[in-house]
Amino acid sequence: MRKELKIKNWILPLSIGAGILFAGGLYWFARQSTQAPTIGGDFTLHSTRGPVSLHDFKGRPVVLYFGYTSCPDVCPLSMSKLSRVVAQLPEAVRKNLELVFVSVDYRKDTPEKAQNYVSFFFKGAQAVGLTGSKEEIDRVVSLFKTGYVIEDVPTSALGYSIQHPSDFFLIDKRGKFSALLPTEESNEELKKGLESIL
Amino acid sequence: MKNWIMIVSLFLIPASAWCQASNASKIQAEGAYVAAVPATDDNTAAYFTLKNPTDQAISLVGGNSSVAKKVEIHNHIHKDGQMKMVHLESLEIPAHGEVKLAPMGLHVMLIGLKDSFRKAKSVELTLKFSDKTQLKIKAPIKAEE
Repeated sequence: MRKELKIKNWILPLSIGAGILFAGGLYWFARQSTQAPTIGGDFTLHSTRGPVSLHDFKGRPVVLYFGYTSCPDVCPLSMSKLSRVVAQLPEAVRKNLELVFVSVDYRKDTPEKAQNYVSFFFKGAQAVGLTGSKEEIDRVVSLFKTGYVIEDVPTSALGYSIQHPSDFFLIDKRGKFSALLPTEESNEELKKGLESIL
Repeated sequence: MKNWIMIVSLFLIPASAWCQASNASKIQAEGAYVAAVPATDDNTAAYFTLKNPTDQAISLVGGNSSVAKKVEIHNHIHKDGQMKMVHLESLEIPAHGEVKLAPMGLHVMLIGLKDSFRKAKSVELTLKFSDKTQLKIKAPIKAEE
């Protein structure tokens, strides 16, 4: 009789505990399945001064852009717009910001070409041009859940074109992806976006 | 003999002037400029608004410039967070209408920039139209806004 009572005393707390665990598990599972995939992560590509990793910029906000130096219209315009907005930031802030241009044109671009490209647009700001092999670029693009497509355009004297992201990727001081900033945003919106990671 | 040459010349000079005049397009280009690009860049883009005051639709079919090997008409398609370039064979300007060529969209590409572009402050561009007419424009080179 006493033994039966003891077991009965255990049943209630056990049931409650199991219930809590079950509900917690369900909540965790639901959260995992509805949460957006994590964007970003550390990567290493090649610059004119050797390999450069995202973690090299830890402690400083980063604006990351995927493009290519032969890009006829979108890349120069995006770089030009960004440089104008960056130029409006206070000098101390501007010098802390790192602009990372990743050329996805692994067939034609070199670290030198990528660096010359960003240096033309960003004067007085830290800007680095990076590129790498197809495998290296594919890994970075995949980390940032984006893509690019190299297409032959036989009708054009350009011969080829690269479909690439139209957003700036904002990365905070901890090296974590913060937000996407569409390049077609107004200068005011771009500035607000940059200020969010400063 | 000399008299004959003079007489023929008198007829030829106005004829050639007339040919040039008849070849001039009625299409008007406004706000033209060419984007400044890094010295290592082989290509750039020209932007302007084309106005067609005539009763007929006329298409831009190409062009040429002494500062580039090739001049082409391009467009950009923005879809699903990606930008894609498209080469166009022609671009129609509706009757009494206009078409704006602007950054991130329609533009005229100057492909294979020559050394003369690097020193230039403006670019002379000849636009060719479907009615066999041409329009010469002068576009300043400037940083994009």
